[in-house]
Amino acid sequence: MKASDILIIGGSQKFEAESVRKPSGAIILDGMHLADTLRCVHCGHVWIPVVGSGKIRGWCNSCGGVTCGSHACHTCYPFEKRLDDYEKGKLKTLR
Amino acid sequence: MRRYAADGQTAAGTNLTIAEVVAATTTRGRIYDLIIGSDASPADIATEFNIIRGTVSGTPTTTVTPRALDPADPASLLSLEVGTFTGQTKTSSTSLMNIALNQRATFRWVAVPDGEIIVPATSDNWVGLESIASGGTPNINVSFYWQE
Repeated sequence: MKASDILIIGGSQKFEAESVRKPSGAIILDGMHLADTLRCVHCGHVWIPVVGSGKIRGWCNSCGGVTCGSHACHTCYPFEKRLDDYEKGKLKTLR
Repeated sequence: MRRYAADGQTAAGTNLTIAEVVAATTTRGRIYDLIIGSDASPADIATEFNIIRGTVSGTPTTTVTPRALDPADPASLLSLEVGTFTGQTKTSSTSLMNIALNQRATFRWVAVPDGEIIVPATSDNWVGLESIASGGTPNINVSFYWQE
């Protein structure tokens, strides 16, 4: 098991963080790379993929990326489009 | 893309904003690096943070002038606000990232290109670091790096 396979934050939490092929970011704790992060292509939420977390994520074939799995993100509404609509006042809330 | 950095510090607490990057109407901000630590005396205090959005930045204790990473670049259009806020509006249920951290640890999140957290080009909108809950009130230091 690699050091990056285990993420321990402050000793209070311990879980297996997953390395992914195309991460959106990385978590570095005390100078050590511990985990990758992913970003939802629909709402922009960032999370650490964890093996066996039980959380159901999604994939959007149109955007070609992962979604956070929330009900609102099941429909394809790309984040860039969401931003454009929000800035033009067509969308009231940016999640 | 021009890159800027700004940092600040505020005591942790319950649903307290530590710092917020406030939008400009002419350009989007792309937060690509975030560093959280504490300069308080070392102690085992757990704090939960969220990165959240808001629509009214409110009045902070301090407004920090961001520094351009390239000295040839013009002044930043976005700004960083730090401290105790009044009149702030947070967008509910918009945790962009959740972080649980021991005070002894220094946390850093770095985005790959196009993986940044985006601040919309909408007046007074912001993206900030929120202390959701904490076992104490240690000083929390945060540094934001963003592109414009």
